[in-house]
Amino acid sequence: MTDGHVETYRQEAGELLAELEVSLLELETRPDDGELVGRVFRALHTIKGSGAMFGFDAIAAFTHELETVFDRVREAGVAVTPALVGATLAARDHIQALLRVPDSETGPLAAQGGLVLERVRQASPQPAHPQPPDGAMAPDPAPPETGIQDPCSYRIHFDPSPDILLTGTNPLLLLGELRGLGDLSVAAHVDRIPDLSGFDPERCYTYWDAVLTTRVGENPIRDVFLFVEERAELSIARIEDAERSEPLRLGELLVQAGAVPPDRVEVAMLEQKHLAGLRGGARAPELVAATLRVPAAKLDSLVDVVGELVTVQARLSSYALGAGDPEIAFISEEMERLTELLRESSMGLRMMPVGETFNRFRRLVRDLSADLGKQVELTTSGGETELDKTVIEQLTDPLVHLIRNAVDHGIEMPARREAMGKPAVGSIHLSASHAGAFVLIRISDDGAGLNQEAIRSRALERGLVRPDAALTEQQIYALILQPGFSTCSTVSAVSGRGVGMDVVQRNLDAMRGSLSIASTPGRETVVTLKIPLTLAIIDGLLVEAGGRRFVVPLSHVSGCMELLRRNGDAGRETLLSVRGELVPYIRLRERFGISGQPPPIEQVIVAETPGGQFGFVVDRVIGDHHTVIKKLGRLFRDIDEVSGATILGDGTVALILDVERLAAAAIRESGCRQAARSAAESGPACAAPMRRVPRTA
Amino acid sequence: MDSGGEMAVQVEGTNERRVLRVAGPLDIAHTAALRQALVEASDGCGAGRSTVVDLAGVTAVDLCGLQLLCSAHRTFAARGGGLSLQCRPAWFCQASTAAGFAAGTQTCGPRLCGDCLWRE
Repeated sequence: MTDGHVETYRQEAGELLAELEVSLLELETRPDDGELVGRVFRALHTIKGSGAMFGFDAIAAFTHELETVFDRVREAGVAVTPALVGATLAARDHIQALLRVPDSETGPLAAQGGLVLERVRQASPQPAHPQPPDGAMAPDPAPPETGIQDPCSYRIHFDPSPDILLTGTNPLLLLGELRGLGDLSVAAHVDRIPDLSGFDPERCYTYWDAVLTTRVGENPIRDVFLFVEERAELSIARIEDAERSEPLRLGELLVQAGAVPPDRVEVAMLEQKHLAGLRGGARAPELVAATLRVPAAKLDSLVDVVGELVTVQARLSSYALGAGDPEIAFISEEMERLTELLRESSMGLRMMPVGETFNRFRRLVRDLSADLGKQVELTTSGGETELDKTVIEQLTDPLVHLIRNAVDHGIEMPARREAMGKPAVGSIHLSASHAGAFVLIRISDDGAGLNQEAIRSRALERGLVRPDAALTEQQIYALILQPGFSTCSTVSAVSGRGVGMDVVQRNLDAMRGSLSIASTPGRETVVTLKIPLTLAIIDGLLVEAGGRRFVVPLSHVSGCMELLRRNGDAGRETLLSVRGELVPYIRLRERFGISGQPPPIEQVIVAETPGGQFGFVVDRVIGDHHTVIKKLGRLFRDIDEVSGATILGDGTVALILDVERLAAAAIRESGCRQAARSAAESGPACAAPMRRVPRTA
Repeated sequence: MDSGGEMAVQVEGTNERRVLRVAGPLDIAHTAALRQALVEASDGCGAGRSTVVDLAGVTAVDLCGLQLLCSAHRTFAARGGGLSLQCRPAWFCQASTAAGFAAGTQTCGPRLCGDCLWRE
């Protein structure tokens, strides 16, 4: 067994556990939904079967009992209760714990597993596995399935003794166990069933022929019948490949020739249908995968290489532009087109729907609300919205914190909600939508809302604001993002320690995302996360100041214009007028300490920031640039105003500006806003009409 | 297996078309009532008369229940009457198919009952 196989199983099992969790949570609200029960069973069945194949014997053994329980739910109509769902969720968590460690190191978890299974048994109306007759010892929960085998088909004939029901054996459960081993087609022979006058309900008149296609080998099949073999006729025979490849109409031909007894005809046809299904038809997707599972690291590597290609392409385009050779120019343009297609395709490979992440929070909300004695319903929308996988990975922690806060601080206790005229069940809605190069994730709750006064008071106590500070609503809400900030007087197991919102902010910063909060006291709180679609390659605007090159993310740029200096004012203005609005600006030369004389006519890049429009003055705008983001080294980790770097076509490095932070820092340091009031009186700097960004690199 | 609860059979309809509405578990511990009702219905069955077993209220089924329905179908067919099932819950269909009792898979041997009881 290679590490690759093991890792593949871990990934697949992780996905199945996520699917299992969603199905169980839905089953809790719709316990009679047979389709959901089927989904739960199939997930357990696959986890068990694959676990045994890949050497996760502890998982296979543990899951076998759960699978048996849900097989009984599925086949025998055993009721799904909240207790059974809760116990199965706990069991699902245990499987996840088993998945994290090598199979040989699961020993310490065995006791915990036993407790979980006991809980499942108690929640299940009957024992999780059929009891053997006469108090005999129970079989091992999972058959010892080892090694990967090619799928084989077996012909199984099972003819139990007529009195087998009196021993407490249920033949249908045995068929269910067979089904747990692979693809099963089964035919019941009912010719021995008498008419009503001779019918004895305690006798088994039926016998079966079945075809099972499985990877587990013959012994696990025999193990299913371990305790009934003495009370049944049993034969298990492998169907050889030669038989499998016989023409489909063989059965019909045999019937016509009278070569087989009539009561075997149906079985022969069943067998042929089963094998035909395996060869083509319905089961084909299992044999010919429509999708490939590729390790994430390989995709990352591909994106890196494409990034390098984009850089070289930029270099080629730059050379071709100056070479004056039409042939080179043509080749360069073709290369540019193909590189662009490759870039889009490779980025698309890493895009994943955010819905799977959303689904994880259903369990969180369920468990938290149960712990807190609240009733909360989580709804989602926009789950199909796609984000780069690295963004999704970094999004999980912030969302966990925000949802915990919503359940703990937002949603009120049911009695209080009813007293306020709200439904007892609180609502949290999680949504995703595209907005240009960003995705907006909104977490809204219909709870108590944010108490501005309490936040302000707490901030005063902690010295975060001056008593006379005039704060806007957004500025007050922004205070809760400070490390250690909490208005809670008590600390619960869920939240209240003031740890969390600063983590949210830090994670968003790392993603170049932002957060905004809106709240109506007593009614709702809406937290909106603005996240870039990807962290790998962005469209940027390449600019130059004092011979240094910078990239401004194009998603922030609203336009650019020429800056006309007034005599004697060079370097002193801080505002310019853009369509009648006063926009503060800074010179990148000054900000980054670049010496030298600026050109007579400078350019201003006007960018959208959370605080409004902000200008960045540069010597010249070079043009748009596909920017492959490279992380800065440790030396630069404390520089907030630069989010990364990129390598240009000529091999030089350009810094990527974090325009939001740069603008915020500039306003904070120089007091641009305060200056605005006084400067407005003397008039802003002159600017030519704003123009669109040039499209040539 | 005792699935809990009691079985009740309500007989409705006319002599030409009788409906047996079954409620509760159709398992080894609870089939007596349905068997009795089927026996009584079969006494009066004959050509041109049909009996329908309505399974909407069934809460569980096991091999015994499936065998009983097969037995009744055979009995009615032998007497020239018809027996059919209606309002089978989805889980019931899944359970019967998984047990090999489904149109085109169960084998009645030489004593065919005409139209298959398990045809949906």
